Amino acid sequence: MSATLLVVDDSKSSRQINIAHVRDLFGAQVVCIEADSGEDALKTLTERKIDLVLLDLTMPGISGYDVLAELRQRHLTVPVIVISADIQRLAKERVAALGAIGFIEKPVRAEALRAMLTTLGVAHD
Amino acid sequence: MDNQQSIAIDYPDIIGNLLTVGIVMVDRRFTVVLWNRFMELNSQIRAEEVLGKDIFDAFPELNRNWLEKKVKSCMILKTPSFSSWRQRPYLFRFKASPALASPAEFMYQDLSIFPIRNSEGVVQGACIAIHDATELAESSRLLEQAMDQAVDLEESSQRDGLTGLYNRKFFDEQITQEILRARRYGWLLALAMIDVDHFKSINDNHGHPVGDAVLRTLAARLQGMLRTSDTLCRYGGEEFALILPHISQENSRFLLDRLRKAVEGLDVELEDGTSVRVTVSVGIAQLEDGMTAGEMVRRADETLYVSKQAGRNRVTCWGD
Amino acid sequence: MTESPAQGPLLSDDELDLFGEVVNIAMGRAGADLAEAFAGFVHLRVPEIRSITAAALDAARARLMHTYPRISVLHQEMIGELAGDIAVIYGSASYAALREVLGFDDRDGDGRHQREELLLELGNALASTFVAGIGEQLGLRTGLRPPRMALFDAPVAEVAPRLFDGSPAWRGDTLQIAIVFHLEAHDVPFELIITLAPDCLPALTRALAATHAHG
Repeated sequence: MSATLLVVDDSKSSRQINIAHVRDLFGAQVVCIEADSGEDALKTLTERKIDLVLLDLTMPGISGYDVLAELRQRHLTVPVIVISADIQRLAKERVAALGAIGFIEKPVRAEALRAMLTTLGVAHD
Repeated sequence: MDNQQSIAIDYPDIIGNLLTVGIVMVDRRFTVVLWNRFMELNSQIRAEEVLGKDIFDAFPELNRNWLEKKVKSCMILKTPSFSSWRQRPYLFRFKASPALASPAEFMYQDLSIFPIRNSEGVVQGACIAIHDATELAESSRLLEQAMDQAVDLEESSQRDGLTGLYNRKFFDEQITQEILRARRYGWLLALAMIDVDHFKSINDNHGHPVGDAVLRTLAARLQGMLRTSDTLCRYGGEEFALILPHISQENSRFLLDRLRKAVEGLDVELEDGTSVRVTVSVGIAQLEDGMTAGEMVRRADETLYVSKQAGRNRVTCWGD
Repeated sequence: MTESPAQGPLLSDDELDLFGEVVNIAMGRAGADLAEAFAGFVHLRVPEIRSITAAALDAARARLMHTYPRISVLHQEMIGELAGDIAVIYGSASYAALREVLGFDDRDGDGRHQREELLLELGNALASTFVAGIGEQLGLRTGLRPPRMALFDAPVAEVAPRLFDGSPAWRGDTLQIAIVFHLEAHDVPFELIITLAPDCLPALTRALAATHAHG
């Protein structure tokens, strides 16, 4: 059984790096979908079943914070891990308060992603 | 012996003996760990007297709050911080070199502050480098003085002697500039020509000195009622030009009518105790597409003429 | 987000994307350092990277004129393998709030020079942490000269035409990075505009290729 992962980032290279890390860790067990904006992400989340979201914070238009708030408002309980360059302590606190289950600092190392997913017990098999 | 290897250089000795820049190093607790030659000579305090001491104990006149904050944020951010004599003349109060032909009493100082790290990159303290900027400060002061004088000189060639307002020459340049700017940024622009009513009679009946007094008083009154972006110029004998950026036709009419009323209520005192009543006529033109400076002035003048014909002491806008 | 000058783009779409991420990460680090040094949250907007032509400079001036009635500008030169000019632009500033954020008191007064000092302190902190972040990621040696106050609280209409003028970095086409920082403790946002010296663009593209190769 495969799981669906949504990678949200306005930077294509960033999305590709994250997808590459995920493929390295989980191979074909995970289906990766990309969204290049907050708007696109919300649309996808209402249209299909997503098992996990990797979410960037600084995006033009709807930011990562806005996406988290919107998901909360709509009672969409999909797990979200924030992956961001905005690494201030308060940013981490705020996304946690908005319901994110984890935070990974950019630039992302495969190890960090693996450790986070293991800790969260997010088993994709 | 391998002389391809690095030679043994005594870096602390070099820094210590540096005469052209002051080096003060403090650890995280602000204890002085280096005080170089420049500092010794200018403070007349030897290194051995301050090493190991808290810098604020050794120099109570230092602005502790400022220096602490500067040094601490430099250590946290791990990037250099600066201070310029322009904003803060000095950190340490040292006498300026008497050799300089300058009235400066104390040495002006430029500072750089940067973090000191150990081999693992852990910040151990900070280094404050002090540069004597007295000559620079003095040259700068003289330059500014010269420039102020040059500006005064230029100003006087732009000003009308009698009223102190900008003169016709300045107006011609300014209206062209304002039209260019307005066109470039899409702003509104209005021009008002203001003419003293029956000025010839005033001069004939009361004499030219009175005529002059009227113009002076009028200029001062009007000047006080303008916005900072407005430019009032003496255009001719008894004619004034007022350049008004960022204003609509309605608002320019409103503003000029206020000015007109203010003049109407103005009594110009004469030497014999009597007073002269003065009124003005005004013509206003708005900037339109493709209009040149000359066309705008002509239009405002024509509108002024309409005001005169209609009985004077009034404001007319083009198109009324 | 970018305009291509007549002779072809300065950076390819991929290079631009990579550089965007480098800038993003540097901005994030700068924000975190500032938040730690000065306490409080720093709002970071998406950085803009654009190719700059003379016409684009006009547009930048016009935008500033429409955004701020009065303006203060700090200039700081960037030197080394990555070189250029940094302008930090402040609209109106609450000096009391800034003083609190930076932790300075007003015992030396609250005159123009003391206020300039606050803007210089914040501007230098912003610029230097940001530039250090870019230099580190790209492996390029770069440093900043001391900042100076180019304009203090001047009416924008008077000074905007003169902005971005006369710097040798602006001859020909080059890249400009524009970032907006907003300290939550202080009502007003600040803009950082970095204009790269055209002759460091080759070193930049080489460095981007190298970082990409290492993944």
